[in-house]
Amino acid sequence: MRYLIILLLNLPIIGFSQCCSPGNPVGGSTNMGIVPENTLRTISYYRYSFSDTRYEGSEEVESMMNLKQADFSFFGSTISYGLAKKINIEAELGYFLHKTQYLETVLGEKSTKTTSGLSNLVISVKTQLYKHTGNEIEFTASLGGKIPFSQEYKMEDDIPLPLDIQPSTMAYGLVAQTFLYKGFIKSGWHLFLINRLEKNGYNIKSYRYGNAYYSSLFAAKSINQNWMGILQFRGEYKQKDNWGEIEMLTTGGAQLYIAPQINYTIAKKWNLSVLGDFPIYRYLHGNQLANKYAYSVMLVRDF
Amino acid sequence: MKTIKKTIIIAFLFIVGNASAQTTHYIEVGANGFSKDSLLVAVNDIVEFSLNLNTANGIHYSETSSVPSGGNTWNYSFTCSSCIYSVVINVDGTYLHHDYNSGVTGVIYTETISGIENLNVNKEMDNRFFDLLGKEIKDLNTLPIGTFYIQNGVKYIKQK
Repeated sequence: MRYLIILLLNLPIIGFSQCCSPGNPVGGSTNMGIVPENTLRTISYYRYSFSDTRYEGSEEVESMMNLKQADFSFFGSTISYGLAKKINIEAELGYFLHKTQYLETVLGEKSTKTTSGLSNLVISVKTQLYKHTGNEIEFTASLGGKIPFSQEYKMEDDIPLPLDIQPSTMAYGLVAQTFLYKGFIKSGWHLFLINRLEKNGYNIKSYRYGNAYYSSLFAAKSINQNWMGILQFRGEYKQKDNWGEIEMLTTGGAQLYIAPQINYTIAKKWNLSVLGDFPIYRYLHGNQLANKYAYSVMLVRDF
Repeated sequence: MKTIKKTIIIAFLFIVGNASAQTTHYIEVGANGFSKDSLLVAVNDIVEFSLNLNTANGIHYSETSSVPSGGNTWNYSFTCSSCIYSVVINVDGTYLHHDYNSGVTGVIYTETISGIENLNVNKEMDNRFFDLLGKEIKDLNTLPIGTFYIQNGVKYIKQK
């Protein structure tokens, strides 16, 4: 590929329906292809997400629940290193600056619940399985382990705070990802298909966050040497959470997002990217607070 | 005119006084039932229900099985950790609510006599048993374990 294309892959476990499930809001992995041997790539990003509408199935509804709004701010980083010509090792980690729920009783009495802290660490090995330079086709896959930074609840007055605002899943898990690229060099278009599976284990409290599947199609077009526009369509499906053997009914569902993004290259070394994330369809189990919008800012640098 | 102003000020202070007296009570539900099996409240107090994350073992509930005449009823399912609900105790009396998961019944009650001071009550101390609705229980052995009953004006939970 002629350009370093930053795909701000907002695959966020946290961007999902319940407005703020724990885990890393995976902010992207540059062109998702392979970093050259002995090269270090750092991606730093900030993400803000806001939720204030409730959905039951695909319908917007009112609710008797006290939880009215939720938001979070997250600072994340992805570090990739070229171990060999076609093998990378990658680490994803981050810190929730805040995860907050805004509650209101039937008589209008307002309160908030808030946490902050490290999320999960994901260590992956990525390998390029196929590449044809002439046809501009590339296929890469990665497999990694999710490691919680904490296995204990965040508490307030000795009472655990809601699971949705815990910064970590408090459980080990697996992350698998594939990346398919097709370029059209004459027209300046680039297409990407990225699939990601996140499998969560049970934490020490016998709670398991539902497995999540993400599929993103990106269409990128070079505007000039510095600017590039990207449009992302993303589908997310999250299974219901479990407490022991029992499914928690008001968790999980499916969502479709559209995410316009713009990239700017600075001095051929730095890449700055900004993205807006807007849901266009939701189907949520039970009655859940749904994400309304999110935005991210990302900076990438190769060393 | 002065009297009218005075009346308005007194009424205002009464309203403010009552508003500030409103209390929010918190009840968590988990595998061991409700964090407060028996809760004394005042009319217009709020009771907020949430899941006890330390003991929850799945979905829990709080559904009223008995309320005083005109009292609010509720039927809450705690199907997620953020499923937090509140209810206003709007009339005097005893409210029974049940969690089908743990099988426990909780009681929320008010002092049923209000606004009367220095009342001398001759309590009957005849050792008879009554349920929370005042109905006499002839045989305490027929009462399920975990149920509330009243004897000599004191509330008890049947242990075994």
